[in-house]
Amino acid sequence: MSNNLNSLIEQAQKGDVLAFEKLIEDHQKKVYNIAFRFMGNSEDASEVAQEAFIRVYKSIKNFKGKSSFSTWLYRIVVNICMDEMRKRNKQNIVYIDEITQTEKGEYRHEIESGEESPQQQVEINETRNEIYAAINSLSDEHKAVIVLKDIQGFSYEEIAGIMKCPEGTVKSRLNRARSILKDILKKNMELFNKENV
Amino acid sequence: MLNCNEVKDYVSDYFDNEINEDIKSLIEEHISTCKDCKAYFDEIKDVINRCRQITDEELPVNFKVNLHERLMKEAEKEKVQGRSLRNKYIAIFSSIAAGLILVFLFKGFYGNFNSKSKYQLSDNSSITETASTNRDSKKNVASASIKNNMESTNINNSKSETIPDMAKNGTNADNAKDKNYVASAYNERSVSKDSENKNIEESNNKTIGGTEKNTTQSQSKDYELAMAANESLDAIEENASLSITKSYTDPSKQKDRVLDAKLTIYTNDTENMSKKVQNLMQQYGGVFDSEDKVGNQGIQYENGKTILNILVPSGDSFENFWSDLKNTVGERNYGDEGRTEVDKNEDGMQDARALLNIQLESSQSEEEKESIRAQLNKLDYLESYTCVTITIQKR
Repeated sequence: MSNNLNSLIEQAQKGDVLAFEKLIEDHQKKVYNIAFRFMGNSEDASEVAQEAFIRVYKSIKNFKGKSSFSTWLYRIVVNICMDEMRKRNKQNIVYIDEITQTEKGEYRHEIESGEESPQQQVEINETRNEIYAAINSLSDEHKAVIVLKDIQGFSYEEIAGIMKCPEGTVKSRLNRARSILKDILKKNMELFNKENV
Repeated sequence: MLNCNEVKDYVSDYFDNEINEDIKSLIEEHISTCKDCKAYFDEIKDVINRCRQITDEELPVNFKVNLHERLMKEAEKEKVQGRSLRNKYIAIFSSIAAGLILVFLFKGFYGNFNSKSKYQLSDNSSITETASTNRDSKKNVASASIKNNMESTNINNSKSETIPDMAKNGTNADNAKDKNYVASAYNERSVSKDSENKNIEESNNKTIGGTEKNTTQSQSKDYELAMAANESLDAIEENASLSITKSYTDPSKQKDRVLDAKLTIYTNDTENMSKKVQNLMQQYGGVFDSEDKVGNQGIQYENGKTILNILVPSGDSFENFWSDLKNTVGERNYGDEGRTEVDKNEDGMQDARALLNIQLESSQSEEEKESIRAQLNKLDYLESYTCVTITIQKR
């Protein structure tokens, strides 16, 4: 198996597009979904995901095999997502609630981009909407660990490789992120209950 | 027993199954009695489950197609850049190589001088310094440079540093003889750098009686430069072109790197032959050229011919592929074979790489180093395959 992988990498390094596409075949959906969780809509997610693959194709000649191919690939994806988020956040943040600052993280509430069609909006589960919004309001680092661990199912070791930090850091970030999510959801419940009393 | 803070710290590990049994039971013991901690655990559990339940989105309809397009564009870009880069390097460094060739050739000439030894040094007073293709006038200039170090026009004049040996040996001579002798003596000494002629030099040293090596070094350099200035244009051109490429049809010359190769195969069953070639290609680690510089894809069909554009790893792989291909096809079934080889020693790529490495070492900025490394990687990539065009057609 790994021989096949290595020969695909070698071919791709020589510029062979077909080999490269075989190489990324199993990763395409995952990469797209990570981008989707960050960007919040399918167009931006497509753009970011494709950009990530192009960048990987361009720099595959520099791939030395120090980490596994997939770790390297996802690292690039996450970096591009974070870059894009930083760019866009500078342009359009809409705050619904007041910003609550804590020691490490910021809570923000953002309007969903509203790109879902009415039909889709009807179909979307209320609960799902809620968790999406909650995840969306996390800071980039917290969002990354939640997406990688709880949504995509990477291991601590893999996440440490992707985010280039020790496993301990991954664990504490994850702890914090989950705790924040819990608080957001709790707060939403309280608001909901208040309104409906 | 664990306190509430400790228990809360463990919550993630608990749900990720990252704790041992002992701690697990301690935690469960705690939360069975502590309401707050139980609530906390339940809430976190809820969050994690909701996240885990999020299903993957499907890839948008055109995602793969669009990506493929973009990748092909990127591949084309890199090939064009690579080719023009390669041509640029070959152009630059083959001219450097040509220069180096000239210097080496002149040294070769020194060896020849002794065996030919038919030239006559002309009279000092008629020294010409202009370059010319005439052998005699070359020697004029050559002797002029030698005579830079001589004070008088008369060789036998012992004022010159170079003459003492002559005087010592007491060779009586008319000018012609002496000049010959000096010329050949100088030839030998200037050739001292060239290991091939060391024996001659040594034997001459004995006859002449002690050469002053230090002085002759600089004099032989003058000689070289003079010769360089006078080398015939024809010789320069010939050597320059030799240094760039050699075309052989003799495939038995294995040492050089092959840039391109082509072959035409004649057969009645073109489809079968095409498959055979493709099998061989895969066997030797070759791939289809996804798009060459005129936009041709890996396989083309035109006018009843099948044309395969293939990339095969250079070196042994390519040579084995080539001979295996010809054996498979059969001697009477192919023709129009050709290949472009680049002599490894004068290969511009080697010099290009050497120069880049020097630049890399002396570079100050990390950014610059990155770009130099990228260029080095490109050279590796270019060197590693041979472009093969195989035309299969009916007899």
